[in-house]
Amino acid sequence: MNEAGPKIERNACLEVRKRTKEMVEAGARMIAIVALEREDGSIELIYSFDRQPGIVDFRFQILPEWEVDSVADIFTGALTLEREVVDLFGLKYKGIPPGLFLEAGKSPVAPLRRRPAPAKGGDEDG
Amino acid sequence: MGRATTIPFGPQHAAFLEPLNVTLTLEEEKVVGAVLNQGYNHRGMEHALSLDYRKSQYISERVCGICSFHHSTAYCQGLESIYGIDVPERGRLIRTIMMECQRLTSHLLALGHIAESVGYENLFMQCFRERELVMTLVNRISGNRVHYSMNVAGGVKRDISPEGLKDIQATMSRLRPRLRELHRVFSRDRTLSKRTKGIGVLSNQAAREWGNVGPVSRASGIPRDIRQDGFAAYSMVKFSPIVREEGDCYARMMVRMDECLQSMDIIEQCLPLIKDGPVAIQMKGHPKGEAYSRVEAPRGELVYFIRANGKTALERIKLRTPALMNVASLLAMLPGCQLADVPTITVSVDPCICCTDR
Amino acid sequence: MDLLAYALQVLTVIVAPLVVGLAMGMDRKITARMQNRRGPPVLQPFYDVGKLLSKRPMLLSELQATFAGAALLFHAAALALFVSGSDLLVTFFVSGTGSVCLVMGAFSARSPYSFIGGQRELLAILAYEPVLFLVVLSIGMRSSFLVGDIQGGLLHDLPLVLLALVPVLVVLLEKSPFDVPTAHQEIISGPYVEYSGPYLAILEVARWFQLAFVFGMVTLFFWSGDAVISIAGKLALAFAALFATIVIDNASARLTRENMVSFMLIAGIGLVAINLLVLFILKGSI
Repeated sequence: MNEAGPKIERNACLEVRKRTKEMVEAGARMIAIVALEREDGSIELIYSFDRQPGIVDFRFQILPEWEVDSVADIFTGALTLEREVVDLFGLKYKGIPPGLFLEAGKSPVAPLRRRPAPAKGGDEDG
Repeated sequence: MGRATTIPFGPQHAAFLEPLNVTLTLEEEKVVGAVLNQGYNHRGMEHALSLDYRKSQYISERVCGICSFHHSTAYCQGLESIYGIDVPERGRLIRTIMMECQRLTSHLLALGHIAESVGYENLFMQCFRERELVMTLVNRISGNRVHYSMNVAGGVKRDISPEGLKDIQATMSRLRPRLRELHRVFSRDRTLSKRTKGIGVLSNQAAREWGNVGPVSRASGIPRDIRQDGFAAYSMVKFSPIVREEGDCYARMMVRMDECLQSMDIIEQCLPLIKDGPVAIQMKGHPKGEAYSRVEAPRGELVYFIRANGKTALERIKLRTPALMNVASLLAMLPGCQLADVPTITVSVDPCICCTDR
Repeated sequence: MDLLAYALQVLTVIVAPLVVGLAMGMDRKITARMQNRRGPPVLQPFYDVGKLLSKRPMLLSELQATFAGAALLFHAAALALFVSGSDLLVTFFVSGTGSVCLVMGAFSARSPYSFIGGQRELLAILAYEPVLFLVVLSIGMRSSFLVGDIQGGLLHDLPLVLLALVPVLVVLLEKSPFDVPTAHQEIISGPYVEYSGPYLAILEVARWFQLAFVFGMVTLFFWSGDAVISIAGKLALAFAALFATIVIDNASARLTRENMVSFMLIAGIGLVAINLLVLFILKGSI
């Protein structure tokens, strides 16, 4: 579908609130926040919603250092989804603490990001 | 007393089957605050699943032990929609039957667990006794009790013989009166309803805000069942989602109980529809593209997002399990309840920690 | 003759808790059969205690051991007083002190679960002790407060009082719907949660003594001139009471603290009151 992917844009981090609000006001239920690391090291975020009859989503691409606005006050259930992204991808969400699944200092950091060098066996990508 | 005490509820607790920690703040025995800690069972499944798409149909079953077939169905459906193929009708019907069998085992487990959480050991045993009928049935059909291993991308790899179909019909006929009896106990038992009615109420509004799915949302009056979308063979059978309005533990319990009876209806509707034909088709080449795949697992909507780029490793596979949303909504139910009701409430959302943590 | 009587009494004090232990084993077996399970061997409670005794002793505070020992002593003393035929009222209060010792033991460990268990145990004592007290009073007024003097007629005159003992047994045997203090799925084992090894074994044996005393009260309701019939009848009555609690346990979920207290006080006191009232109307005296 989205072969090229959206452009890396800073204000996408802020627009996420507006776009989520539109969706929620239209009666959609947030399903998931899918994060994935692209070849160039940027992070693509896909916010998917259940709006009958199917799944609709909006997506944007950011750099991993950027802080994304939280939508947890618009859709309470998003809190868990955001915390998951924070843990597994090491992204920063405004006001969202890490530590849903992982423990600071003990667990590996951002396990779903690509490693610069293969850390342990079986960890290679592609 | 008025003095607040903090007690850890879990990760090892008699009421939980799996490690989950709820840190409760109590005033006397009234819960005034709750914090959820999870991740004790985080195994990095999303990474493991993305390593090799050909092996992932087996790994996806291992995400969870009580909705394993739904996981592998969701995964295979995702791949099938990337390849753009349609599974043969017989394959889809077999998938539907197996999914409903698994829903029966899962719901009976959840019901038994609720009964156990209020100290009703006898009812718990009865649930598991009836569950055993289904467990041995799927064992005869698939060769396994828990991980059926029947799914492959493109269909199912194990056909059901005509004797097997008769066996399913016979088992359903044996099971029906027993489940009716169980239904009678769950709906009428006085001590049980005293402990579940009006306990842990999740309002319709809260259920929408927390994004609840499955029986938990349907017990709060949201008429949404992914099976209505008609994946697998659900478009070929007649059913309507079971919805209750109360939103309390009793409603969640009864939604599951009614769904058990409904599952048997669906299975019995599927059986005469099965015609001779292939059960799977072969797929060629590595997958390329992306797809969402949804199934209605026993706990609710299970979503797989798969993006493949033509290699054996998948670029990203994301699981959004139903328990993740439902467990989080405990924070809306727990404050204000009594300590005695905490096990019942947590168990009534059917927390599958394997799914939640992955 | 006197010596023989003493020896018999000492023997009873030793044997009675063992019989209770055996009854616990039968209870587990019957419960299991009711749930279509096989169940543990009948001697399992003894194996359990034996194993607990063989474990390394561990304590959170010294007081725990003191209170565990005190609970055992008081409950054993209560049974000894009961068997030696002394005042039922004194026996009742000594046994009650033993129960309070369990609570103190629970409070002496710094653990929230133990603390909540202790509070609930106190509430349970508040619920069943008044009923037990009224049972003692009605037995005493009908017959005699001295256990040794109590003779037949209790079952005939006070059937509802015997019935009132059944919910008391439900609480003491930690069975649903009133296993609130030790609620397994809520607070694990409540007052027992911070005990382990030999100290837990002491508490378990203390519980056997306590149950022996309460079952002893049940057996008072049957009496016959013939010793054999008397003993057989007493055992049958105690077993019937046990069986009733097992059936109740298997047909109910656990209720809450509030339910327990209100049910025990209303039903327990109500049954005793109705019984005494009817007796008064029929016979003109209690």
